[in-house]
Amino acid sequence: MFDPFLAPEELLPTAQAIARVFARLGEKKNRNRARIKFLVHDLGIEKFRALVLEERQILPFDPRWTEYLKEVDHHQEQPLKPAGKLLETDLEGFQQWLETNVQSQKQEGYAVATVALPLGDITPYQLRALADIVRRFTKESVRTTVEQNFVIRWISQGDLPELYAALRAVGLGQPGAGNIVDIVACPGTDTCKLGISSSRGLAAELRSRLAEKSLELDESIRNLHIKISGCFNSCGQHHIADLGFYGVSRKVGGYTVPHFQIVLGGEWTHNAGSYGLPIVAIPSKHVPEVVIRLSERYISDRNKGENFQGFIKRIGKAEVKKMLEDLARVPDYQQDHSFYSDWGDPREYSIDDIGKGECAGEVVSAVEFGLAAAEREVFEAQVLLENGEIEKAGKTAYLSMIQAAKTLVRTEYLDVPDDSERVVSEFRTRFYDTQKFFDPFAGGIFANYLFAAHQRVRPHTQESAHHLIEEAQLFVDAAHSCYNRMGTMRSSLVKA
Amino acid sequence: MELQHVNVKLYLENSRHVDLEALIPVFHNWIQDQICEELLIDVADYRHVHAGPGVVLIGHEADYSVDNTDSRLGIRYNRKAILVGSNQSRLKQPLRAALVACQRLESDPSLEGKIRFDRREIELFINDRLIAPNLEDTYTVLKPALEVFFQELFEGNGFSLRHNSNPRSLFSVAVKSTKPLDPESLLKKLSS
Repeated sequence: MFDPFLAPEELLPTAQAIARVFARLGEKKNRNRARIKFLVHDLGIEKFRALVLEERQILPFDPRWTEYLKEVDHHQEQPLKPAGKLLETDLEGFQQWLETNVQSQKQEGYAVATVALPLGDITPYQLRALADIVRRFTKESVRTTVEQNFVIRWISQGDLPELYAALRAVGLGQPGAGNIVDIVACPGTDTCKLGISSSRGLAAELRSRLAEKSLELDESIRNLHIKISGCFNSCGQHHIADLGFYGVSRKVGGYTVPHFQIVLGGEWTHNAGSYGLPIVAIPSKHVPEVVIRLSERYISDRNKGENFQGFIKRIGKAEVKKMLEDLARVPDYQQDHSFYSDWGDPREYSIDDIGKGECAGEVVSAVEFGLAAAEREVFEAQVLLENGEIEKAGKTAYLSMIQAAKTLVRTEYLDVPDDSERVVSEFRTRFYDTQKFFDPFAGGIFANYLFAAHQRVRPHTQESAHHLIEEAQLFVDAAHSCYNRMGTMRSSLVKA
Repeated sequence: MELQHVNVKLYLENSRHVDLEALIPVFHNWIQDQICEELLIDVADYRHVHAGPGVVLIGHEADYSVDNTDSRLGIRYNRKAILVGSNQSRLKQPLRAALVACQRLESDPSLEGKIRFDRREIELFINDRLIAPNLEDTYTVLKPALEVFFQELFEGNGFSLRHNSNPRSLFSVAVKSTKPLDPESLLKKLSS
């Protein structure tokens, strides 16, 4: 933390001083490291703070630092109507909406209402209608939320039935805000260039399956958060969900199959108190079954008052992985080719990526075996961390990266020695310097995780081991992607 | 006034029986088979949105959708790219594209004949408030051109025009024919 308390009038000059320090000392050449966090990491927070305060002292005064403060109070939200009391009503659906979408404000007689948007979508017609509704019940103020919904504050509680009726009339009266049906998803493969799997497609599928029986769901399940990202970049906030998913792809028998990593242990509450870790990659079409299986197990085996995160911690990730092992398997293409397309898209998923090895009988290539072994090691690292074996967890995470790197190197240099120094050196020459390992958008960032882990000499803390496990999983995922790209290149060459 | 970004919507007759999910593979086939001169890119599913765009086939020059705006299902052609030529030809192109799309959907075996569009009504929108703010003045300017266009197209059959004057909506005009329209002859006329 830079400072636990900053006076409002110091906000802008301090930001300016930080920007100037970063402009002077921050990374200029490597785009992936052009972030303040890297500078803070390199200098240490103490030195960084000292430099910023030094810079602050020499900044020439600018009246704009404080001028805006006079206006701040004008932006405070105020109620339009006097506080009211909610009277009984038999309005259809109102009670359910009230339970999930309305919270009392601290100010007596007022409430906060959430407008739940399925997959965060709203039409222009609905937006105009919402603007009218907001003007009718409040002083023209509405907020967007990180859960892809709207929030309306300062609703007089007596107005709630009327508000609900007005929202429902334009299709905005859906209950279930912030519960298991209210799934957050990034755009994924629908529109994002980085998308690997269809996060919105999966969200729509889960939503329709869960909405059908939302009323019958056990209360403990109803309040779980599901969040989905189409890739590792976390735009869908998968790392802080009870059940988080992020898109990856895996090669199966020469075909590329859309998968999602299952991320468990994240905490939505306590201001995103902890990040989850990936447990296992599951083919997209099996993900709904994962949700059902995990939630049913939670209902039947949880202790009294135990939240989902606590439950996962108690039964252990090894047990969770065992529960899901059969779902991680992909049926042969001939047996069930539905697994080879993604949700909401009946086309075969990147069928051009077929890349068979030289041996005609090859079904699972040595690379697939090697990368699967690396993935197992990442998981083993998680289990070690869970059991408090911190140093060993860090070491195992590092070895999983070595395993993945060695697997790729072996595609060019079959007899590469097991010695990690040599593996890293060969990997650097063959995959980093040639940029073969580079992600089309993130560049060489994942390779840098390996290089940093290889150089590390300090003992691990709980936090550093946790961090390294996350990086190891991302490195292994990047190795899968690199292998997929190599397959595509081979196919293109064969076609040419 | 230069007409651009014209949308054409042809309403479905039996919308209750239409399963929008079935359109997703159909639209994907359109992409794979490259059924039209436009570049077709992807299919977006908005079935979960109340009175929303339904299922949309996103293209570079235009989008095709089975759209549920105002809770009325219809086949909608949304021309996005600029068209050259006269206003009459800028009306012809989207109407022709929408009619061809209707014919394709009506005859697609996977939809089992469940899609049938209403042959008495065509709605035109201008999806550009800068060109065509939804005002009475805009309608006054455009009405004569629309009347000429539909008189010629319908070959003397009676029709009426109705301007949706809600200023919050896009500029739109519903064209109602007194007799059912024959898509074949309309297409022939539009191609000439």
